[in-house]
Amino acid sequence: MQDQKTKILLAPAALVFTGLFVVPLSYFFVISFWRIRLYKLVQDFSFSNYVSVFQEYMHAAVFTFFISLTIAIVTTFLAFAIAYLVRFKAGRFGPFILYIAMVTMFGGYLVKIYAWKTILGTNGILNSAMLWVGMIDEPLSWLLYSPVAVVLTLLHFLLPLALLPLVGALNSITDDPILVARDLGATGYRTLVDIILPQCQPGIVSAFALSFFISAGDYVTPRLVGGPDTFMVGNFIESQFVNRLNAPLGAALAFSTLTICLIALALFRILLSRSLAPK
Amino acid sequence: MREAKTSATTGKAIVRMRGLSKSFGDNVAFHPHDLDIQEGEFLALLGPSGCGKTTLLKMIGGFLAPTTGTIEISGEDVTRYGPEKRRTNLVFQGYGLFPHMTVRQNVAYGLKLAQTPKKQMDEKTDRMLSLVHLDGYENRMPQALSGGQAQRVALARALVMEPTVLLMDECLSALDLQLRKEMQDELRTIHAALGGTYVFVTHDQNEAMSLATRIAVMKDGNIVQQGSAKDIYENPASRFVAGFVGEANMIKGRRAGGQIHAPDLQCAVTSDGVDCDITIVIRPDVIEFANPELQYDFAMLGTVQSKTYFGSHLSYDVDLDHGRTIKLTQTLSPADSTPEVGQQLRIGWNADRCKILEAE
Repeated sequence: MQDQKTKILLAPAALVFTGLFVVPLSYFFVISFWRIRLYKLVQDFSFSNYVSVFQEYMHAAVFTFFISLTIAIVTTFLAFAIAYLVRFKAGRFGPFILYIAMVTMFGGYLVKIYAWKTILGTNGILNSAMLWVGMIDEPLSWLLYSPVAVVLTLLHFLLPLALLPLVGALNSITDDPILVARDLGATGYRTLVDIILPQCQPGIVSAFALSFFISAGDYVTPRLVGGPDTFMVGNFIESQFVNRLNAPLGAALAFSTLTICLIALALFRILLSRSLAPK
Repeated sequence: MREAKTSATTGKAIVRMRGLSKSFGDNVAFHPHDLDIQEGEFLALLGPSGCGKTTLLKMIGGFLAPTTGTIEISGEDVTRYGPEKRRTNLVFQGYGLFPHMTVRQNVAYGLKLAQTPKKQMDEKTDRMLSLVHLDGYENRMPQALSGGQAQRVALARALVMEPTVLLMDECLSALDLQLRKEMQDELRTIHAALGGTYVFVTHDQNEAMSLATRIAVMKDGNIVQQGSAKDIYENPASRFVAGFVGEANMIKGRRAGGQIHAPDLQCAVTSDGVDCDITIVIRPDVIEFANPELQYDFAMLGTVQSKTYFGSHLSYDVDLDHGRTIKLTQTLSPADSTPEVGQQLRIGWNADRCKILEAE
């Protein structure tokens, strides 16, 4: 009876999960082994799509991997610093800082991209300011339309998102063990490394995963602020689906990226827990 | 009630506090006091919640900076030092175990920070774990421990540092009665075995009496009385202490011309001293069901209103004829007759066994 009831209550969630996650993912996974002939999907079982991913898009994958890794590491680091401030240093201003960070999420994704365009552009705020101060003689053209712009824009977008799991993780740490560590002679740094960081590992992993996956899959930011040399895997996936109408290759590209990301995340988790394990 | 152990103190003050006080804004948590803690002492800071006992403990440990005054430990002024620079260790009320470390890692953490050589660290950790009966639990995680075990880990983790002063903040209060008694016995044993100076905070007068060689009773940020458990129980300095430490019947009255007059008393008693309002403090164990053959300084008639059995003794509420209730306890021996509820009888006690407090 109880089991029956539980099943009924779980049904909507299961339905949504299946309809929105399992079915589309399985569908695209299956067609990543199919082919396109005369603009039509043809059933097949071939690894040719994956072979072309490996042959033609490896450079994009590697570039995407490193830029996403950079964004994820910087974002997680900064988000941790802010979360630490909110939890330990800001006192009653903590919630206020958090509130401000959350409010910036309402600005939306595209708004942030355009904001960075006006900041980093040739006639942008940053160049104008540096010209005025006399730091430079002519505007720096590489600020916008470069990997730097992509990193900055995504960092700005991701920071509040990455902040949430870290604030959650730090808030769940009680004060007593931290005070005990001090009492036993630990410096602030040792307390951070030995007591605080190991206890918020799940939060660190979530923040890292969020920023890493969103960066790796993004194609709007690189297109709008990345310039001609910053093509990320997302741009190629999009073009396979939209311009070339080659969904199988797009799917293969997407699953390859996903696999690399999952491996990277697993490695990150292992490295993190190894380095934070009490000795 | 356990007699306070004669302390193994050497008479040397290991902690010396002068003019020490703590305020939070306008609220004075601890009024300026001078207080010495002797080497080898087991000092209890006893008082109701909000009396400033934890504030005082945290100042000794370096967790709170005093508003005024100084603290010396082993002759060194440590007033401005944080806990990491003091040779004191505090056992927290919630234990504060490191949840991601095993029992052994918890206990060894302080030694590791002090860069103790591995061999020595292992030896000390092992010795401490066996002292608190946790051999075999070394590799457990804190969440797999019972309350009593967690408490022992916290204690071992502090003791392994060989602190000049061990501080304990209500660290037994989360345990059930049985376990609390066991831990009290163990703490006493450990103190006897290792020596050292212990200071603990408690609101439980039984715990203070059973453990401490000296008790400092606190109220509203003041130390209102200090002394051995026996001193405080037998000679409470105020109505508050009398009521907080042990049970007490308190009868208000007035002394005039060497005579005590109290509306609740059915008799007049002589007492030396100036004329003033007084309170007579009588412990329940001092009052007896009157033996007709004996003379009592105080004697009166009452009716047994309730009777509670405690195994080793019985506790009675006796209504005096005009409504006042007196508590008395009777230690049981097989020969004793035990009055029944509703029975009318005489009760009595002698003046030398009760305490007369002059008006506060």
